[in-house]
Amino acid sequence: MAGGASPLLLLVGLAVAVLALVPLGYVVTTTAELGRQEAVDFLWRPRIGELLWNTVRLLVAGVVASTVLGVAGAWVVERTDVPARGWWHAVLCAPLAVPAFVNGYGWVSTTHAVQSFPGAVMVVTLSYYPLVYLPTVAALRRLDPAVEEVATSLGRSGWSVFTRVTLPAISPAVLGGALLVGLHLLAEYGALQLLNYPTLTTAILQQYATVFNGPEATLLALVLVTFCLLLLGLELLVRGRRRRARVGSGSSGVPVRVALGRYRPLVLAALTAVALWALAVPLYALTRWLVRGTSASLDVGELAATAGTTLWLALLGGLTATAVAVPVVWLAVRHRGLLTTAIERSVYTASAMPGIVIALALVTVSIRVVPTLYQTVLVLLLGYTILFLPRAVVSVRSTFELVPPGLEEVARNLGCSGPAVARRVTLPLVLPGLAAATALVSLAVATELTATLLLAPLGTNTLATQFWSDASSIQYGAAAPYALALIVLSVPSTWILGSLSLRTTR
Amino acid sequence: MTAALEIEGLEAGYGGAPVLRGLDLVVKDGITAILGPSGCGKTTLLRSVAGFVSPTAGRISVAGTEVVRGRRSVPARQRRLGYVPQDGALFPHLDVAANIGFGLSGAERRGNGPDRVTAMLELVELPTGLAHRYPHELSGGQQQRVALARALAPRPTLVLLDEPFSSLDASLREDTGRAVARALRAAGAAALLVTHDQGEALSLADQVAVMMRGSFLQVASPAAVYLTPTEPEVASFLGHASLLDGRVTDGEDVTCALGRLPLRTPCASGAVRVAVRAEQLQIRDAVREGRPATVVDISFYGHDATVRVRLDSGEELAARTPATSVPAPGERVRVSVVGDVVAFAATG
Repeated sequence: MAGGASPLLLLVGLAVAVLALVPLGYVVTTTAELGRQEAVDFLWRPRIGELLWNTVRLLVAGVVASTVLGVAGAWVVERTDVPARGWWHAVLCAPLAVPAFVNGYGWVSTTHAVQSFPGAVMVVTLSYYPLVYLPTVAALRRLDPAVEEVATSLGRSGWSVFTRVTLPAISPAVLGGALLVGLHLLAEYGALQLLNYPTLTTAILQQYATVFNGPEATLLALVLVTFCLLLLGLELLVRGRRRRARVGSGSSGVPVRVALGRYRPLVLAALTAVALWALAVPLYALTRWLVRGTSASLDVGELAATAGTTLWLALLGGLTATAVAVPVVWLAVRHRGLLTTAIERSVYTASAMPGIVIALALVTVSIRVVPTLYQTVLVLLLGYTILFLPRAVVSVRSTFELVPPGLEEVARNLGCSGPAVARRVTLPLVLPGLAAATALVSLAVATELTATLLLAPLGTNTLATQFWSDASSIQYGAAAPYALALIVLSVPSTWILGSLSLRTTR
Repeated sequence: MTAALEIEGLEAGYGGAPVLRGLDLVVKDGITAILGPSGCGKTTLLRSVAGFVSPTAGRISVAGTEVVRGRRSVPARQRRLGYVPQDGALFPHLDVAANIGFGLSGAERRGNGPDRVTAMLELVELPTGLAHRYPHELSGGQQQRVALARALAPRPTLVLLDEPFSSLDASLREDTGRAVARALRAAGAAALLVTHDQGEALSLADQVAVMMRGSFLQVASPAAVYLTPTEPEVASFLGHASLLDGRVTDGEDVTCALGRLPLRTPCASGAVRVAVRAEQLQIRDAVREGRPATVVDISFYGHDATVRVRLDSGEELAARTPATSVPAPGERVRVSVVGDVVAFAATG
């Protein structure tokens, strides 16, 4: 069934899957302990209907808007003669360095008009569209321009070439990005709380805050997990029917860039608007509070200590999640089967759980099973691993798919042992991808809020938790230095991701 | 009848470096091969005709319609040309029928009367059962045929082929090449075939344009470019011609290291370069006629062998000999010439 995978590897894969399923298991068992009538009574209320409606329309509008913005941006940068292409690529990646809750803070402290449905859609779109933009740029780079040229020579207009040839070819990348956006929207807490837009996730947090481990919150979490599974199933269904085998070796030449002509000012204006909305507004708000807040005496020593802790946790979390993702991806790519696909898919289940559900699951399990681990960094790292494994798996997977098995067979033929093949052939090829995965997870860990609030040992403060305790109590000035530090910390990994997306094999 | 393609004074370049230096070419019908080493600009020429590269000067007409004049040009999608790139570049998400029907209007695709897609499959000699296969389920040769069928479906007057057979293995290359040539003739479309493979150019084309460093050295029939090259570079690029220094005295004969040889075409008296084809050289031992030489090395091909020899006077030559009489390296032999040779006035 798992096509010749070594038992040890399978065991590791299964262990990862079990770890990833801990939060889901926790939600299911706690729900099962609840009486059935009780559950129906709780869920069948107008309040729940309102939360569902809020969540669904934010999910649909946010995913659609992020996909449109991400794909349009990638197409403009990669396929048109827009001036200063490299600069626009950097600008379009940059919002990744502004965490959603910092973005929300920037907007809400500027105008209260964003505390509405359109405002919420706008803020989450501006924060999350790079998750579609980056893979789409990479896919456009990899696409053989000859395919688009043939379509042009057959009389198709630019738009028709894009929808009938380009889009189907890059759709796996776009779909993957859209799935990530959807999962993020389902789990988003900080930004939506600041924007005063109640969803299932913010409601769960309110429940937990009032009755520490109440059954109602667990029920809501179950509903949320159902959404996540539906989303995963949908993506699997759509992706499964796509044929994306590249035919022939293809000599990827330089693509013919579409001349924007008289639309150039319009396109430049749109790009500028995105830059202003996604970057200038939050940064301006931040600067304003920074200038105004310096009077409230900034504790530099505390800021430095917090930044150090954050950096260390981010690196550790990134490395752990990537290391754990490798066996999972290896099984799924090289030993494709029902079991290995199930292992790969199981890691995704955690990603739609709000951080606090994962955190509380770990708190409960660690107290019940190994009390000595409670309130240690190990549990925090486990939490980060479960939370960010989906991201690591997505990027590690796309890397491993680039290594043809033929290369490994050649190396074996030249007398390499299994580990030597991994060290001398596979690893050098996948290292850039692994670096990307580590950067992606580190970026996420550095800005993670809710799980850290719950799982960090007493006295361990990160920039995000420090920022949140100030921002949520409307001390905007005091929060500003932490927000700035969060952005500064996120810049390097964002830069790595941005340049990696451009350096795909030609 | 208007020519399928007319090119006049075409120039193109990237960032100031000229790639095409004033090309003239007329393709009336049939297949014209652009033959040249890699980097000579042949792909740029093809892409200029297709509309993917903007020339800096010159004129291009397709079937009597001007598509390029100086810096003004018609967009690629309005030129109605067939284009077959390297590897075929089939749309991986569409099946064979949808690939072939891609350039057809909706009405043509649904069709009343004989189905265009089926007709195209028959034209390129593929079983109609392939219509619902996907590109990755086809062999390399089948992919190229489908790519041609896709290019021919909208009935273009001119098809551009960019090294279409270079990714196929040798046995497939010849079959596919012939099938493509037959399909083009049956469809009545002219073709511009870019290739660096002289065997392909000479066997498939009706006209061969030999290109080097952005210029055409000679444009003529395959037999003419091979037998009566107008430039020494054409002679040495096409087939294994060895070039020797010589002197023409009376316009009928040339004297060189191989002795006094008859000229195929008259040449002005004076210093010349003499081109001698490998198959004209006879390598024999134990005979008295011919020039003494030593065998340097041998490439054995089965049907024949190429033998490199050094004349005692110092010149190196390549000769083709039958597989049954191959000398050993280092052996002393005698070299003589069969038939007449071509001479070019020596320059500089």
